[in-house]
Amino acid sequence: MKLATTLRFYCALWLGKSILLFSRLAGKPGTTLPGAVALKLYPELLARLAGGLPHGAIVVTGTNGKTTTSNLLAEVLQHAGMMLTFNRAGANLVTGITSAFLAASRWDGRNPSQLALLEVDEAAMAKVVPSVKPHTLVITNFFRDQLDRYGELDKTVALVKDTINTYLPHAKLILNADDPLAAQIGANREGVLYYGVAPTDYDITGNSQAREAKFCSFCGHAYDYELYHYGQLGIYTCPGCGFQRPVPDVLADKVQIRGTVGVSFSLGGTAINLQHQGFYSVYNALAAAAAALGMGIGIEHIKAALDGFIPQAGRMEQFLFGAARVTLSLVKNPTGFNEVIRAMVHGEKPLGLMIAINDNAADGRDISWLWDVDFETLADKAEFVICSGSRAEDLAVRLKYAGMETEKLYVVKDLAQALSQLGAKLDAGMSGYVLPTYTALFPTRQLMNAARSKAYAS
Amino acid sequence: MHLKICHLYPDLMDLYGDRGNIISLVQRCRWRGIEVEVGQISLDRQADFRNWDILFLGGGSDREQGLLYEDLCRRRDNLLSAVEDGLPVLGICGGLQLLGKYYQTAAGDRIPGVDILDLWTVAGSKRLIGNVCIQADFLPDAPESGTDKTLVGFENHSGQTFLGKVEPLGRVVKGFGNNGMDGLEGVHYKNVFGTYLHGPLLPKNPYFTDLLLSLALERRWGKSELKVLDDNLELAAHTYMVNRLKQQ
Repeated sequence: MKLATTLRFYCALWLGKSILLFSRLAGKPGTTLPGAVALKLYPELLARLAGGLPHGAIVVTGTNGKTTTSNLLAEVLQHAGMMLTFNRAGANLVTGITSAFLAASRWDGRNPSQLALLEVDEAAMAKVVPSVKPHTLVITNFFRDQLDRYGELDKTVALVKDTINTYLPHAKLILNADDPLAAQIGANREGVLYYGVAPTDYDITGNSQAREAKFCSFCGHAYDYELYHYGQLGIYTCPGCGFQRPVPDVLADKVQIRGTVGVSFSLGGTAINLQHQGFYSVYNALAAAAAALGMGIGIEHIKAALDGFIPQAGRMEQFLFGAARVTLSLVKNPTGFNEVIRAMVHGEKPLGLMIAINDNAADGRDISWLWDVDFETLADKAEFVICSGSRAEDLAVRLKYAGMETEKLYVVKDLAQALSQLGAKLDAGMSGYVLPTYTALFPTRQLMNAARSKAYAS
Repeated sequence: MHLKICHLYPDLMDLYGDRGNIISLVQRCRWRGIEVEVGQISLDRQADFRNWDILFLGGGSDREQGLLYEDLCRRRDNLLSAVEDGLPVLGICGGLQLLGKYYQTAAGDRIPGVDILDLWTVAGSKRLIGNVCIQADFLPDAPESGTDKTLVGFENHSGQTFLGKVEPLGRVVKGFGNNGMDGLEGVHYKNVFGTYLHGPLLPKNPYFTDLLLSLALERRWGKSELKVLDDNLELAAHTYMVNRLKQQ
């Protein structure tokens, strides 16, 4: 390396690490700023930092479940004794990933990690992948999410596919066989490991409930579905060109949803008992398991890590709120929201809800996706809904048109006031749910934690 | 009394919560005791538009719009005669573009539209995205509503649409509108309404929804009076956005 380049590398590294240090001293997580500044100074920094790890890099991308999937995979890898560079905080753009490398690297530029595990936003793939060159890429699924940021879903899928074909012709792909949009990326390629779910008691047959991928990516013919697990995930065939759901190499069988306790399934004869709620948790765990199996990690590490994993902040997190049990869960797109609703209406108790819809850039400025959420199935089960966040009124309108009586709808835009109303209205015989979009999640969670510690103190 | 609503290509053209527009039409009929039926007409399914009371055409991705183009062209003459007969039509985003003369791609190719409205669309280099408010003078006077003949919604399009000898739906108060240049939004011809406003449009613009229903009742049953509904939530959503945009 030339002297000038070496100097720029160290300047960028030290500047980035200094900003990280000061951010942390100031009580901020420093998940994006250090990377953003350091990359300005030396654009090749990410490639340099990512280049030297003995076991290379794994990337997890897709619309839903990439944070949970990468957290689960990190748990498995660490259980197997690996030291990781990991963008744990979910900062999944190029600046966040560079910051994760800055945090993991020493001041002399050496990184003691064996492997980088990176959650990457679909839209950031083309920026991250050429620098990081992962040997393994996990794709969870493709759903409609925050359209105003990405344009349309087809473009997102095409972007990811082009990036893979251009920069990763030989990488191992870990793909969701049950999602035609993800599975088609593996067609005519070697080194693909497919994961999928066997038929379950919860499947839906008959009418198409898929809102994406109704038509074959190769020939445009409508797919025939034998069954749907949820969204467009299921067992499908294209009668036009014969493309069909690939036979899963890693299969989840005997899926059992066990209410608020969690979900269990069998993985090649090993029973996995997740503490996560909702059918989609099976896919997150399965994607992590498939990636780990693809790296030759033993099933005992996978089982131990998956069984022991407690859901992270704001993903079906449990709180005691007054006398009632309240579940906090991030909602950000129709498919994820529908799965949360499915988990909610599965319970016996009547429901009391606080839903907070913000429309900041990170939430997606377009909130029309609320009309693709099946609130109709919730209308009879909810005793009341407190509508909060900057678009509280729009949410209330959506719920009214879903068949909820307006007497059961409360518009309380302020998060703190909305939470205190929730606390006042819930009783021990009800299940409470707090469902915020991304930028409402952290303030809501802080308020709930504060209420919890106050309750312990008194 | 009953109404038949035709949702054209619901499987291909349902971006951006378009089904919210159908839900809004249906619920506002049911709450008034008007029977309502929604027919989903997609590729290769026969339909005589003259027998329907409202036609809705939503937006789709480029690929999906390509799949239905030939099918829609086969229906042109029938659609035109229904339009001339006063059929209320709501076309949003792709639905607006397809009713015009052509769509010119970035490469310069012209994909002909069904040519029912004198408008054309040219692919733009940047997407026009954001909340929109327009002034729509065709809306009935409703001083008590406080909406002041405004429509609000969200736009997200790269196509720039230009009008020939045809009226716009309204004038842009905030946002981009048809092309971000001439201050016009949408199109209005007879009972055909085309717009880039989704969000979806009808739920939070209840006066527009009711106008469509009145036009449909008038055409089918010769009477258009609608029972007044409690629209407090809808108008709260509407005025929140109007006020927020005014402050920008």
